[in-house]
Amino acid sequence: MDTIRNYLDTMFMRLPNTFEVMKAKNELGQMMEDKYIELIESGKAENEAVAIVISEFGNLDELAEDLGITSAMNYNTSNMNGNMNGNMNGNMNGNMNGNMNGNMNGNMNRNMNGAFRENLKVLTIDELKAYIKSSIFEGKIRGLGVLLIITSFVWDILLDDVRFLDMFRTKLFGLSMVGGICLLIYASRLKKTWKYFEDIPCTLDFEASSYLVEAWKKEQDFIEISKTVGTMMCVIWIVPMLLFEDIPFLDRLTESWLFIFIGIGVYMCMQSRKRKNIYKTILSFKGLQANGFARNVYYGVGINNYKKNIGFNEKDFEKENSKEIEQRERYEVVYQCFWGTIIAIYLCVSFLTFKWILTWIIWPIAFATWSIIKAKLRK
Amino acid sequence: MSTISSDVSRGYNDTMILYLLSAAPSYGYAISKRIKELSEGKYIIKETTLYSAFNRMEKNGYIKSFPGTADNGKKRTYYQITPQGMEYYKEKCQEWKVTKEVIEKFISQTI
Repeated sequence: MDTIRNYLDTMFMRLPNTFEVMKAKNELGQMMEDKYIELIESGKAENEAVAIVISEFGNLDELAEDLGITSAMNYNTSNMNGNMNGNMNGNMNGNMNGNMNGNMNGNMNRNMNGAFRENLKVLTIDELKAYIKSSIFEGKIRGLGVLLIITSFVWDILLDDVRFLDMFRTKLFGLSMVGGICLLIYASRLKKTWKYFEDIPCTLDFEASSYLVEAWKKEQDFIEISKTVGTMMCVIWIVPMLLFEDIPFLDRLTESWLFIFIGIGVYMCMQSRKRKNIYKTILSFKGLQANGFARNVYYGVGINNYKKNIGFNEKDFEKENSKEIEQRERYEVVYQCFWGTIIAIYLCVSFLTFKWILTWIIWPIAFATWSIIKAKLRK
Repeated sequence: MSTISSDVSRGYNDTMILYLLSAAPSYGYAISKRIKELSEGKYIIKETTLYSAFNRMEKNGYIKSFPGTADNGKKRTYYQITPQGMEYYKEKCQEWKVTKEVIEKFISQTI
């Protein structure tokens, strides 16, 4: 059975992940599976059964029209020009090196061995990887920019009245600040490279889709951990401040802790957010939204079915998982509202009263309350 | 044993499928199996041909698909014929009678 599944996966590898294509893949999978099972039951050897099923499969070109794609085999020049123009425009704005070559090669390959639907851009696994990689890079640059700006105050505090070094104080402050701003500008320029994602309807091919499922699953731990640690960093700077109070020099360090901790905390939160947004952007592709793939992947529902069981029915699949999806959607909304409110209260009260030593008490209370809410939501 | 080529049968895949569906709703593999049986192995319909026919006829409103579960719990797409499908089938039957009549005149009986 695995051989047949692999065969089907390979046949569909370069086809766009759209509703029509997914439906066809499922249905063809059902038929092949039925045929295979019956052949085995009638006493055929596995190899023989596989050979029969595959030889009687037919030709995907026959389905081109049903799938809303141009020919699955023919090399279509007019489409290629269209696609190349689209990409060049998109990339011209941003950096010229690397990306343009990458995209152009990707498109040519796709047109040679695969198929795509006119006016729907189908990203291959290479393009997807390139997008994720460059977006993470952009996020890091942006994060570093913010980190430099926040920590620029550290130099001012640390080097105050320190012999010889005092003269560097304002210089380092300014350098750090300007450096940070430059990085932010650079990051915005990087972002423009992929701007065309928002302008034209996109989808992924099946190979890229499977990659996305795995990558998103792996990414979630990173997102959660860096968000939690980042938030903690923004809160616990109070600890060294309390510990090193009244100790000469160290107390000066502690004033810098504030900026260093918050800087790192903000950096981590930004990375977490960025990663999440990358996947949200991909999952908001029109093609992936239309066939319900996006929702299922985002909430990690029914993905094993998608990966392993080629014999499921699309409509049914949606219905089956919709309850769980709704539950997770509700969970996410409550989560955002709850922690948003807590952070807002914490910051408002703290800044109004300046009793940072007391206000942190909101965190243990919040965590306790959250675990109760979570238990209630899970029911 | 001679078999018929897919070129020849192309125009009549719909007729075969609608004939089988007019008896009872059915699913992809069962239909392809029945076609093979009724044709005594002379015509084996390819999966892609069958799916293409299903998809096209569903769009035209000749058949309707609905999800179902097999005895072993496996999910399957079932198809049933619609009144329009019945009409279309009758038309195709008429058409075939004429076609057969015409082509027959050109078939040499001595070969």
